[in-house]
Amino acid sequence: MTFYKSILLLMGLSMLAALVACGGGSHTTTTPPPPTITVTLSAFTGPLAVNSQTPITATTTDTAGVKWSVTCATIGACGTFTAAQTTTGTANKYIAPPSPTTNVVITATSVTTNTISASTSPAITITGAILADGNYAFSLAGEDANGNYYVAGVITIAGNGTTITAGEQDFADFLHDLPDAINPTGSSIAYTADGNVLITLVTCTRTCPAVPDPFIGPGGNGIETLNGTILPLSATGRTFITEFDASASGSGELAPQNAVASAATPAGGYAFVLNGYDPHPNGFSEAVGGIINVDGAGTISGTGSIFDVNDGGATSPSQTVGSTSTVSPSDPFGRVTFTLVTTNFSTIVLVGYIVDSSHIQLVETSDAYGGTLGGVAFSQGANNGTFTVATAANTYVVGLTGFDTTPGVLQLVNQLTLTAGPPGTVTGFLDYNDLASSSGLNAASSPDPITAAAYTVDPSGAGDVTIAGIADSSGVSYNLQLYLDGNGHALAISMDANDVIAGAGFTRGAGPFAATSFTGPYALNVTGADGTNESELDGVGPVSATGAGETIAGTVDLNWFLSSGPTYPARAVTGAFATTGVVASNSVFTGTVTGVDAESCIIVGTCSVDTFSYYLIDVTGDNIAIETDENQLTLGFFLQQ
Amino acid sequence: MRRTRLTKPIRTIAGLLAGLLFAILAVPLVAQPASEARVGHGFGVVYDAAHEITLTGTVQEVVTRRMPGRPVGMHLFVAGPQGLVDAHVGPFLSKEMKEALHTGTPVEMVGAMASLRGRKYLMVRELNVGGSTVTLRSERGFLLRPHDSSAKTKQTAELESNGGVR
Repeated sequence: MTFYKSILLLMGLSMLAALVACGGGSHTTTTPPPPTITVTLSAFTGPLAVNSQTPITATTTDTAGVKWSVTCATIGACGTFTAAQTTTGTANKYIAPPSPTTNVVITATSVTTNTISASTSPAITITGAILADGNYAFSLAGEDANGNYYVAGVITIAGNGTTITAGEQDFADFLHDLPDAINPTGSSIAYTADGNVLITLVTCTRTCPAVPDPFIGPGGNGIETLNGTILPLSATGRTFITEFDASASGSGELAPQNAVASAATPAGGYAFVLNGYDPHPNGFSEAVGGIINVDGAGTISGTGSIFDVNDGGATSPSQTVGSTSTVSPSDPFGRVTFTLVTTNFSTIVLVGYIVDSSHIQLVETSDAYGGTLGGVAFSQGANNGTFTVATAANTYVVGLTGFDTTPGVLQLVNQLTLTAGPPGTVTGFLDYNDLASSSGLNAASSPDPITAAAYTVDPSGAGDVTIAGIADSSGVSYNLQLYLDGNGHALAISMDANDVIAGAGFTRGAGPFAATSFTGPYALNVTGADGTNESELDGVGPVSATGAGETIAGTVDLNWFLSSGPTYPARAVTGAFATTGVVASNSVFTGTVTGVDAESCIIVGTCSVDTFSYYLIDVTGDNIAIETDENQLTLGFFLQQ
Repeated sequence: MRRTRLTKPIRTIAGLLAGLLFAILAVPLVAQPASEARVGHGFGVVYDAAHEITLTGTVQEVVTRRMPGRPVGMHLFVAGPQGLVDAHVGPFLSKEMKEALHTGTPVEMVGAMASLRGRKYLMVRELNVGGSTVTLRSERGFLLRPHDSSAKTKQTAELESNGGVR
């Protein structure tokens, strides 16, 4: 090797050494491979009840968090989450679907790496809610072969919500007043796939064992079938019910009976309302409202009591309740009788089934008057005598049904804001429908703004509010009496020549109302009449509302009286509602409901998209909805608890 | 006559007084209806019982299908001396009465004329077909539900005297 070559070799080796050295330097600054992302879930076990809300938390090393998803046997009806995505350690809530299902698996997936996830295991089951053991009071109002009918009673549920061991009821229609016992033999409770409860009641004439009441049930078999949806957030099992057989269709409520309240003789003031017919053979539509003030031990002096009547358009306001009026002690099922002696009417005897300390279900029984009436009474407690124009100032939402002179059935929902003044005013909104005229087609807008002049409160402060001359944009002018309990309820009847309607409502809760108010699971009860024959229809079922998503979806079990079915289980119901605009800012949403129109869904086969207004009662989205087109008469109640 | 020219403050006070006067007047004017007789007539069509009429004629058409904007239930188009009349008999006719009504049936009707959305029709209170008369409406115009006319009183069952049924 020459010296020159040696120098070149040395330089080459030096450069190589330098390169190696440089290579070693670059290795020390390379980012290490990212740590493996992990996702783990908090403990989560089933079974869960429909509509239940259960916390679940994901822990992850992904700083972006996780996305939540759920699968089950009923695709598309597996439940939802309060948050679609959460960061590590942030609690989420799984909201079970409104109907039972199986194989529910919840998965949290890394936002950054969607191949990394964690799922609950084993798969869980969503079960329907069940009725706890105990006594339940129930009531129904609807139509049977003799026109309107009313029934109220109490049943005893045992066996973890699976059996009926006793009960009694009072039934009234235009031709019958029937106090019956409930026979445990043959009576039963079942839970259906859609989460509803099916109650079969076998009646006995008077006492059991005896023959089934021949005036009850399909073909006089003495059997009533009730279909119910337990209010999803009710801790006690409050349930919307319908009669679900071929003998009658009606809507009402089943509610746990408070043992202490039902054992006590009613005392204090009660705001009440009744709907139905006047005595046989006239059978004029009749609405009665007022205050019953039980101011002695089982006695009613008349002080603080009021009795208003609209009998086929002939109004008789402020009838005196006589001092010989009484209320009986309760029987073992909480059954009492109010005997009311009034100025211009024969003695009226109302059977009452005490539900709890706040309300009593009423049915007129055999008496000298001979009408066919049913309704409800709400306890005023010690509020009787304290009501004034100032204390009555509030916003109320009331839903009323009855008849008018045009074709027959009339439904009305009112939002009424009473301002004491001076000058006192009444403002708000209405929607009405009698199939030949409706706010949706006749008024300048729907919901239609209403106004009235100053309202008055009865001088004795019993809670009877008179609102005269309520006017809307379509030329309608009407008069309402409100009966307040001072505990959040407002009952109402009309005092008009051309209509007879009555119903119950609420003091609207404090806002703010927003799209998100109408969110989550609800029990839906619809009651109405078809557009051709005015045949009664009633339905109950579980639905969910999406708040800002402005949609509802669920099912109802429908009974369309006098149709060929007449029962139609698990009919799909969808809907939409707009949560913006002036009316929405006043807690009335407008929108649609599809799936409850009997004629289009069942006969035509394609459900009409019907226009509805949703009158919110509180910030949890509970509302009274009314159909505002003239396809059908539908009043809907969406309640959570 | 001595004239006084109102200065600005005086005009202001006069304006306030006038406003107060209007306000005082306005209060009873607004509040008055509440203390007067009821002013609303309600939602249904007014049944003008004072102007009831009796119409006779022959049924030209029995319409049971729904006609939007018209009262629900059966309509009879009846031809007679008064021309063709849309007679509303409602949804609650008995099966027998429905079967008796067809084209060519002579009828006599008592009722009151009414108007709904620009269309006139007869609110039939009494319908006579073949010598059989049924009352369909009350004298105030409310439709009556059909019921078994042979049942003159309610059928009842009294409770046991021990306070309830078991």
